Amino acid sequence: MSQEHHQGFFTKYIFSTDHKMVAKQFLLLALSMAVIGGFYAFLIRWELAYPNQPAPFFGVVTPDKYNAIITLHGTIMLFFVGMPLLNAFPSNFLVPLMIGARDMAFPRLNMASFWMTLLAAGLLVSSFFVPGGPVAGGWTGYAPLSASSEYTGVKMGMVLWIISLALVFIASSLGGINYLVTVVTMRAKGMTYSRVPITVWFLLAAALTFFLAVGPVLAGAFMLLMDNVFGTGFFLPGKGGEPLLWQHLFWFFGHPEVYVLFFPTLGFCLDIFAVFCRKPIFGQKLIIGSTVVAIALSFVVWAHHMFQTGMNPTLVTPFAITTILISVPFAIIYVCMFLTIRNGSISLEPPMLWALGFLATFLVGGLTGIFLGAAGADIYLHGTYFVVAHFHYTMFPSVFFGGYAAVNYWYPKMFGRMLNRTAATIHFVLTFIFFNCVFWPLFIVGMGGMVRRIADPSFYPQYSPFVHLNIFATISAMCLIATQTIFLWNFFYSMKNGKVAELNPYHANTLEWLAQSPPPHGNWGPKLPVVTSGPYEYSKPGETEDWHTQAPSYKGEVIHG
Amino acid sequence: MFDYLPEGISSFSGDIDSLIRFIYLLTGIFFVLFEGYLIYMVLRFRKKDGSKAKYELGNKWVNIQWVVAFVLVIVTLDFFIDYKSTKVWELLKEQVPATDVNIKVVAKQFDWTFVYPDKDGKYDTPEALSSYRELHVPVGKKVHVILTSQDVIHDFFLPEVRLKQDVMPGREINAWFDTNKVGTYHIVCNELCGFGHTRMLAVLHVDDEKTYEDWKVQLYKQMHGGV
Amino acid sequence: MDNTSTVDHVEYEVEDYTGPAGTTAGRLGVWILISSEITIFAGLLGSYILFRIFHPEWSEESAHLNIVLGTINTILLLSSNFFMMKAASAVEQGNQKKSAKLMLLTIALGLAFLVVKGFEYAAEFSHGEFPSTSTFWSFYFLLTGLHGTHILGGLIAIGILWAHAKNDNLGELKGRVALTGLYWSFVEVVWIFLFPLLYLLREGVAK
Repeated sequence: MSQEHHQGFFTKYIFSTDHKMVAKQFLLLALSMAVIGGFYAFLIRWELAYPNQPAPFFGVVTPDKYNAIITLHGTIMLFFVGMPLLNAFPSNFLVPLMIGARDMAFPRLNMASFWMTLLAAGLLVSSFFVPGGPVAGGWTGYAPLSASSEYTGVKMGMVLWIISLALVFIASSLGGINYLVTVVTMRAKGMTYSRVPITVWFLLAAALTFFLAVGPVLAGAFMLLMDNVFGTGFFLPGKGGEPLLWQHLFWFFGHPEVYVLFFPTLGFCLDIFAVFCRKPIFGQKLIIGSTVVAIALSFVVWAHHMFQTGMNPTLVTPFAITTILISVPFAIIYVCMFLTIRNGSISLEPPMLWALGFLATFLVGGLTGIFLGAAGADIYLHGTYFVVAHFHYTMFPSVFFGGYAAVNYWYPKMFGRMLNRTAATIHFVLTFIFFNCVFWPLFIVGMGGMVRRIADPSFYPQYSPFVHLNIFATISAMCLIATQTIFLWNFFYSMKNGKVAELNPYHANTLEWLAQSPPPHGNWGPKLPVVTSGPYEYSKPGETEDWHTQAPSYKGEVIHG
Repeated sequence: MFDYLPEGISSFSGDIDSLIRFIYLLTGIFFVLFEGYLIYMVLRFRKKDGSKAKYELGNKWVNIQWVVAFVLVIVTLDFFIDYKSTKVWELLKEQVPATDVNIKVVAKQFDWTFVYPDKDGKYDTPEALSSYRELHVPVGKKVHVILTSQDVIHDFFLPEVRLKQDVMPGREINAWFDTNKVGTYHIVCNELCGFGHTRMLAVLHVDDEKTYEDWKVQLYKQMHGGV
Repeated sequence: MDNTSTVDHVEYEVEDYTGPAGTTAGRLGVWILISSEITIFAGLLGSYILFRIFHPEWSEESAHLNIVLGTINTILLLSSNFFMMKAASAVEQGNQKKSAKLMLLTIALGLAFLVVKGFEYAAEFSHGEFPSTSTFWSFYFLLTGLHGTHILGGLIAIGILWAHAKNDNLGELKGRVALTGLYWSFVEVVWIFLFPLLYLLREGVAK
């Protein structure tokens, strides 16, 4: 493998094939799109608390705009924030470093993956400005609504949305190929599979799940595109089509997709618990075995999103059973996380706070899923704000608590500086409080029967008791969004002005901490690290230090890069 | 959590409510257990001078058997919940009981039409009654609804009855419900169906027998421009 | 393979990128790509098959497909694959010029496939059979169209390799001939499923 000797501005920052730069590009993309997604969240909450009043920076959120905004909020948060922040950014940055490689197996592939994702984001944003406006069928895009502009009034915007999604799906699959091949073929000497850190395992699990699940939804996307553009009728009953087919294809992907967004956070939290409790992760083999089972099961639960669709009711029983079964591996992993913390020696630094916060909030999401998986209860709760609260209590912890945990933890390695600890702690505490204040009330109004995706609750006299709860949630949402500015300030300010980071500020064992901060092009000195132990030798009896790096013989020579 | 749960007015609303409350009880217990233990751990195991973390790998069966046992308890409870849920599901969705009140529900962007059959049970004759946005049913009787859409997917949601069913184009889906209390209740479209989705409401009138019959007569007269 | 590279006049140790059982990175990568692509076609074919089960009248429509041209295409694609395999062996034997000739043959046969397909489409359009005509035709055009784009992509890749091989200039790209051949066989296998499911399930033919 040859290394570029001198990198000009374009090769270093724009068209870089260096995995660390690609990772930072994905991170910046995720943060930028999060600002847009967050703005849409603000508009949604505004309209729900103050229907038909002009929203600041926007104007009145009319029903057609509302439908577009909820669609874009979902699409952006899942595919342009969640996946870049939890899959692309960490995999690109960490995988080669954690296994002791100099770069990815196919460096240009991940650069291509980033540019495709950026193009996809651009297409989606451009759809705001086309005639007919942006997509408005919900992020789930159910047909026939999404299959013809005669139903939504949106033509070009829908086409751009479909193409944008197809592009980001393909880009993510390409990235996944790279992570898998890199881990299989480029591990440093001594880095056996059992010595690979669990973060890498979970990033791989996510990549594998994604590219096995995405095929059917891509197939569905082509069909939907043809329905919109060529007048075909794959999903239009009037033309011999079947609307439920879209839902089956979509959810066959959609359910594994939520695990794609969940696995990386499990990995980050486990590694963070090990480091900040000075203790090995509990049950490593059990966790990995459970993950494999979870991946397999994730492909056979999808129709629990479709209980009320009028599909054959006898199909409900098998899917309800698989849905219960899939809670087994995840419950095991959750309990192992607790047992990792127990008997530890805990330091409450920001990454640890985020990981603990994840445990606390995700629990609510997981438990409330039980209400929805019971088909009888789902009859009442499906499509209400109970569902909205449930999935925000799973998605927000996965994407944001997990994402912030990763960024806070690996920031010193990425930028050579420490984040301001006080600001980071305040950011965590306020986010935790406001997040719960926004979404807990939604369980209550959902239980009261308030349905989702309605632009104007004031039109529903039966919802007037909920006004104060909705206003409370909205004000909390505005505070939650405002709080994120603390993070943005901290992130950008500390890049140049933060305390200079030592090589391994947390005394962690994994290989990335041996490299310089930030690692140069090529990651390591002239000699690659040689691994002699696993990543979880913390507080081993009989050792003087409470940690034991995976490659003690490695000397981090400074090289020019 | 249940402050705003609307009053149940069907024979099965109690079953659904008690199922939901049962789930709430069980999940609530585990919520308190886990959150409590989490807080306990964070306080108890804070880094202290002199104390060291325990080097435990948890890879031996003797340790992990407890994890597996604990999770199996949770899963057993979950299966039990599902058992109770299946009873409700079978009752509501896997069969339609015999009844002489049959109504066709036609959903379209963005309103509801309720069609009452003529004396031969047909819905497309001049003798059939069409009611726009108002569904009247006689109290205490089982009602069979035949759901269909003229365009996109909608959803027929009667919160107080605790009935919900997606309404599909190109198909007729059968559902049923009953009511046990006279009054005025709500019908809501529960599936995003376009920019008018937010306005797609209707009203459920549960009438006593006489009021119901009178209303039908009224409607007939209205439809046929009679006196 | 040289185990070091030189940057800044310092010898850098580099990995020999071979995984378990001699799987090279490239081979593993192509297999993973293929497995993902299989799920796309599986989703499409699965949907098509479900529709056919519920729409027996489609066998009337599928009878309008030109079975002769479909068979010719099958033979063209199978032969194209045969020659690509030989081209990969030629590279292994060190004979790049021979492999270039074989790759040219592969491309010619692949192009012929596309030309035949083009004729078929033209004939279908002239009979008023468009994607929007009925759901059967929607599936036919989507399935064969998507397959056709994969053929085109493969031909471009083989073309690039041919351009290097004909001048004995493959260099580091040598391994890619076999890998592209692997992809090319995948494209053929998809057609092996498409052909009977689209062309052969018709009225009057025992299934």
